[in-house]
Amino acid sequence: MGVETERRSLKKGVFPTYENRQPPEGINRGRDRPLRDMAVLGGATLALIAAVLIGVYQFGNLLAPLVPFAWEKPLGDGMVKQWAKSPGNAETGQYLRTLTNRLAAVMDLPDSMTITVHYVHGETVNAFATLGGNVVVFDALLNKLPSENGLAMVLAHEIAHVKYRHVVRAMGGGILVSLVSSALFGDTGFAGSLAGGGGMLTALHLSREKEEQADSEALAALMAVYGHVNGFDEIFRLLGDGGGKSGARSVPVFLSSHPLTGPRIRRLQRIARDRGWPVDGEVTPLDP
Amino acid sequence: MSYIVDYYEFWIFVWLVLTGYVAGTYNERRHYRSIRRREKELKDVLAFAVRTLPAGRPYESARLVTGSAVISVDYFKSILAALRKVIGGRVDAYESLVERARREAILRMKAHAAEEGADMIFNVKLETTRVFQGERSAAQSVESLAYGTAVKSA
Repeated sequence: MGVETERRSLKKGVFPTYENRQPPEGINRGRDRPLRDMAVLGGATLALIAAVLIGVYQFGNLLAPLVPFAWEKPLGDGMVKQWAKSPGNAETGQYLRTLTNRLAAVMDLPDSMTITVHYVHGETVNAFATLGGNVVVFDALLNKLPSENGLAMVLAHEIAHVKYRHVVRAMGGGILVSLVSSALFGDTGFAGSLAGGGGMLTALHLSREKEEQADSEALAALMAVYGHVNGFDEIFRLLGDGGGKSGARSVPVFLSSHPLTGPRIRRLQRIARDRGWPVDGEVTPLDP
Repeated sequence: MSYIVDYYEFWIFVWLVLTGYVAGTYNERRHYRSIRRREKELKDVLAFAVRTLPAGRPYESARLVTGSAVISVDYFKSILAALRKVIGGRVDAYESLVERARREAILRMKAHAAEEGADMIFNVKLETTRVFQGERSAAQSVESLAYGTAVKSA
C-alpha cells in the first residue's frame, strides 16, 4: 500500500488492512551442506598441520647433530637411570662391555664419543640406544640369542645409531614437534600424544633410512671382528618370530620401525654378497 | 583394544562430533518445522518495525511485550565453525542457529502479545547476544531478544 493511498484512507477514517507474510526460507541461511564443508575444511586443516609438523621435525633433525656429543651425555645418563636400577648379572655385564669395546674399536667412532653399555634385567627381548652413547641390553635378549655373533650384530647396530647421532636427531625433531604441537593444541591433548608426547615416543621410532644405515654399519663391524658375517640374521629371526612383541610403547623396540624382517635380511645378504663377505663361518658361542 | 583405551580422548572427540551431527541435525529440522507451524498459527498477530501507530488509528491498550530464545550450537557445528575461522568466509554452520534464535524470539514475543489480547506489535526490535558456556568458548549459545509495543485495536 503506497504512502499516498494510506494517507487518503486515514483521512477518510478507513484503515488499510495489514498482514505479516510467512518469511521466505533460505535467505538468512547458508548453503546447507555441513558434511561437505567438514570434509573440505577438516581435511585441509589436518594436511596443513601434518605439513607443519613434518617440516618442524626435519628442521630439528637437521639442527640436532650440531649439538656436541658431550651435551648429550648428562641427558642420556639421566634417562638410563630407571633401567640401571635392576642390573643383570655382573659377569655378563663385563662380558658385554668387552664385546662392545671390541666392536666400537672397529667402528671408527669420533674421539669424543664413548659407548656405555648397560646390562639390565627385563622381560623385553630387546636392546636400544639412547642419548649420550648409552646402550641398554635386556637379559631376556641374551637368553634367547643363539650366539655371540648375533649379539654383536645387535650391539653394533645400536653403536651405529650413536655414531650417526640418530637418537639425538630424532629427539631434536621430536622435541621441536612436541613444542610446536603443544603451542598449537595446548598441553597434553590427543594431538600432543600423537605428535610424540614429550618427544620420547618419536625419538624411539627411527626412520627406515636410519635403521638401514645402522644395519649396514653393523654388518661391516661383524665382518671386521669375526672375519665373516654369519649370525647377523639371528636377531631378525628372533624378533620376526614374535619374540619382539614386547610390553608395548614404553619400551623401545629394536625392530619397531620396519624395514620388515624379510626384506631387511635379504638386503644385508645382498650387501655381504656384493662385498664378498662370507655368510658362513664358525659362530662363537655366547659366554654369559 | 588398547588402541581405544590409549586414545580415549580422540574417541570421545569422535563420539561428540558424531552425536553433535546426528542430534543437531535432527533437532534443527524439528525446530524449523515447529517454527513454521507456529508462524502460521500466530500470523494474525502483526509485527511492525515502524515506531508509531498510523496516526489516528484507535487502540484500546498498549504495553511492552518481549520474547527471547537461547539456542545452542552443537559440537559438530562448533568444530565446523572453528575450522572456518581459520580461512574466513560465511559461517554457514552458525547462520541457521542465529536465524532460528531470531524467529523463535519473534514467535515468543507474538505469543506474549496474543496472551495480552493484542493484535499488533509496533517498534519491534531484535537483539542478539552470545552466551558463553564455561571458560572454554568452544560450545556457545546465542540469545535473541525481540521486544516491541503490543497494541490492542479498538
